[in-house]
Amino acid sequence: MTRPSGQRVSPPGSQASELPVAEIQDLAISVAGRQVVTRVDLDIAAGEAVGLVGESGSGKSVTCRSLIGLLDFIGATVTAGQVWIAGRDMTSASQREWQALRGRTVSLVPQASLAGLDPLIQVGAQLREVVRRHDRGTDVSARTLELLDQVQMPDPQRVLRAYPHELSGGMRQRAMIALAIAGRPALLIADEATTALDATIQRSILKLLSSLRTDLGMALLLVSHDLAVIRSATDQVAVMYAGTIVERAASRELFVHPRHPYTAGLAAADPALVPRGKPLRSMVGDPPQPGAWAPGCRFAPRCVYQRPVCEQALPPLIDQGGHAVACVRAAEISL
Amino acid sequence: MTVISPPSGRQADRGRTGLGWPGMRLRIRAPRGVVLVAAAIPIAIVILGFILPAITGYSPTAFVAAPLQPPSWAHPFGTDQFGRDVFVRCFVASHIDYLVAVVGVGVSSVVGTIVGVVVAATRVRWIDWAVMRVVDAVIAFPFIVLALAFVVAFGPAASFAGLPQGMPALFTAFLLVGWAYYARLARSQAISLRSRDFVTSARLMGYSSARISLRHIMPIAMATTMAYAVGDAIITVALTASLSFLGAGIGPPAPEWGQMMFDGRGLLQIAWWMTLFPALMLVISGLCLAVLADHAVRRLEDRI
Amino acid sequence: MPGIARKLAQLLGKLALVALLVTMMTGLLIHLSPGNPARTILGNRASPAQVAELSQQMHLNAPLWEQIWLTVRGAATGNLGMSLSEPGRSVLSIILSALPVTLTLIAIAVVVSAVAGIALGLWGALTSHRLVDEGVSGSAITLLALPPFVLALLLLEFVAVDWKVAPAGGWGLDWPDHLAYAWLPSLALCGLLMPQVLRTVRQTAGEIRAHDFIEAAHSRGLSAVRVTLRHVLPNAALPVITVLGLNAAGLIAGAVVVEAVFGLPGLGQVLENAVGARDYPLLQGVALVTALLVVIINAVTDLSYTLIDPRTRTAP
Repeated sequence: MTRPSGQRVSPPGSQASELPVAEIQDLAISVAGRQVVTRVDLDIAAGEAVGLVGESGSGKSVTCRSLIGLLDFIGATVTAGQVWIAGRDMTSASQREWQALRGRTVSLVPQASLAGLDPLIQVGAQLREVVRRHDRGTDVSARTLELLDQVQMPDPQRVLRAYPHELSGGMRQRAMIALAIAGRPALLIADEATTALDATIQRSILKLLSSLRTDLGMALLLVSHDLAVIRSATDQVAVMYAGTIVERAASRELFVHPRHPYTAGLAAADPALVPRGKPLRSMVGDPPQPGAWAPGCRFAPRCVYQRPVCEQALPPLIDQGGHAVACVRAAEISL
Repeated sequence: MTVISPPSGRQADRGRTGLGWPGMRLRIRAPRGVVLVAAAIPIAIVILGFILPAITGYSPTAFVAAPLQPPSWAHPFGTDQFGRDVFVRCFVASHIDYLVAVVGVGVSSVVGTIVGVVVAATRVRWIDWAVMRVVDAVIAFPFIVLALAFVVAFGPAASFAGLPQGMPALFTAFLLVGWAYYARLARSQAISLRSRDFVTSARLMGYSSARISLRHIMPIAMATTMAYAVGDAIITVALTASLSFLGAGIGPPAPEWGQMMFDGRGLLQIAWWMTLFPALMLVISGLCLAVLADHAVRRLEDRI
Repeated sequence: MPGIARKLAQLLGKLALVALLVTMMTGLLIHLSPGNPARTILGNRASPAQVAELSQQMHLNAPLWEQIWLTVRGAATGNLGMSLSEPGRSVLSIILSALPVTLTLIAIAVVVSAVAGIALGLWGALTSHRLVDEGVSGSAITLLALPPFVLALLLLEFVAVDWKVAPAGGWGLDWPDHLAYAWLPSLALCGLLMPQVLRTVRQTAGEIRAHDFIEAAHSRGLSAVRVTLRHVLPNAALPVITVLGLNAAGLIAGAVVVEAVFGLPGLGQVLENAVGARDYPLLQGVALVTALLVVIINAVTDLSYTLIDPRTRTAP
């Protein structure tokens, strides 16, 4: 049961008839009784790099967790819609079923923080643990070194014997990427993987992720609030606001010709996207609290193009030639 | 990260800083109403301790009826081996136990806090180190053993100012040992506060270290220790009772829960009421104080 | 690993110093009492000659520093003085014959508390049966509010006397027998420690479970069992060790009281008799030995921290 997907940018070499590695249809998630995500549609084709942009509270992290079955851990449940991984309906899958997929089909690189690695165990031991899980029977130490090499880890012998707190932030993040790709997943989710890193290290980690993607034929879901990061590293971008997707298009297209006022606002406020000499314009107001959403368009209270029609119903995400936007006035306004 | 974050409590206290002296044991999540009840009960007990002898006409130390009577309308908690009314004794005993707890814990927490903050503020490193070793040594003594040693050294009949026998020994023991726990607690508080922004800005404004310690750090450290001290009051009451139970605490004829249980110990089969009711009073007091202590600590942590 | 060796040296140094301080303090204790200590001990009816003799025996007339030195030297050589209540027996021999009983009690209590506390705590943190978990927590709190001797009395009364499942006090003649007498008193002592372990583990495991690295471990496809045992448990064990260390002194004090209730021939009974007979040297000796025990236990806890948590090895 697939929707007709619009025109999409696929990386060279992939076939258009391949199953998407992940599909989210009309997904709604609630946490502790409050709706935090509604009506989310997203496809990730094999080998594609998709970006998910949004502020804190937009629901992007929760959406990521739904792709790897970690909703239980944050007390969240799917209240509507479906999640498909590699053609399988995983919406109501058990933890056991998810466990079979994790690391092998879909994997997650968490935010670059110290708390991503067990502080009590040597990095090498943690690597070996994951290798043994996914690659039973191979030469464990050889594979471990191979992984460290793939993530371009400096001084791999020392890193193997080191404890997490002895490594720099960049090295820790490389270690976590190594752990995530150990099972050769088809989809790698990078949730704010470069936040909390220095700018130079951010770039190198991003480059690493991109090269891993081409080398291993992996799809990449890059979640961030940093627009420059998203623009440089992805083929397709979806923008989330207040728990739903408000715009989705090819990355080249989205920031240059945004069709949703929120996206335009984001682009106008980002120093990386605004040409030098032009003023930055920030948006007034704050996003609404999850679960406390008004019935109509959730961006309406902050939108300069708002009209009474905007508050009647949540605008549907309408796809026009590969560029989808959820704004009833999209055709009228020029951004 | 999104607003939705995993459910997490406070970071587990590693205990390296010395926090976690028994007062921290009991952490109960109590709704508002329960806290009020928990505060009301001990107060009610104390008040009853004052008025009951007058109402019932029974003095806690006089022999008012036949010994070893089971509970009845005239004597709700029965009588003990001397014919004293257990009901009245139970409530009057609260004065002694609570008094020891309040004075013992109150004074030692104040003294300990001062020592802890001063030691943390000193620039002479070896003083800090030396005092902390002394603290380690003091804390090493199991309290009961120490108190027993004092009781014998002071002599069991030692008393003054009309206090029940044995109280001076108990006070001395509490004060000599209690300050150390609070000193350690206050010191770690002071050290962690030192690196906080509000201290840095005070320093930038030109305030001297001494003034910062006194006017800014000391009150917070004092509040912290006080919050934990409430929890320690339970321990103190239990300790007093234990000591009396071993025959070395508050001397007769003053009523004291442990003492009463000591009396009733050999008579458990025939006069269970002599042991049960003081025990109940102990446990109820303990629970109330635990709720109050936890509430105090929670309020404190929210502010800091 | 050089970090461990250095830490070990530091800990030993601290241990030695604190032991020294403890010994010195014990020597000073007697002087805190008002009046002439020897007279107080002997009571008002003692003759001046008796008082003088006791003063001499306890070195009360020597200058203070000499008294302290004598105490320290005595502790180092194992001479803790002679008992007043059992003439002819040295304080040390009395303590040594009673110590195994107390240590047995404490050892059993620690093991049972740790195992039960960790098991129940982990279960409580991971289970979805909220009600049962709340019930367990609630009972733990109630247990904590009970002073050890109340619990001991209750157990003695109901389990031993009424239900006749365990002997009502006393001690066996030889090793395996001891267990039959020891398990009930140990249980009373558990009431002190197990609830703390349980609550600590429960809270810590709950928090750790929410940590990023646990989520990350799951996301790599490791099984839930493996994550719990290999990652959650060691991290949750750290606060448990802290709890055990903090309670060292309390456990000894509790053991003393429990022994008094059950009539076990351990330090508790020694203390009770010593108080009754005004045997100050014996009391002093017990204070010293127990304090040293606590110091050793604390040093061991510190050391295990270093072994388990690599982050503590480089810290000063």
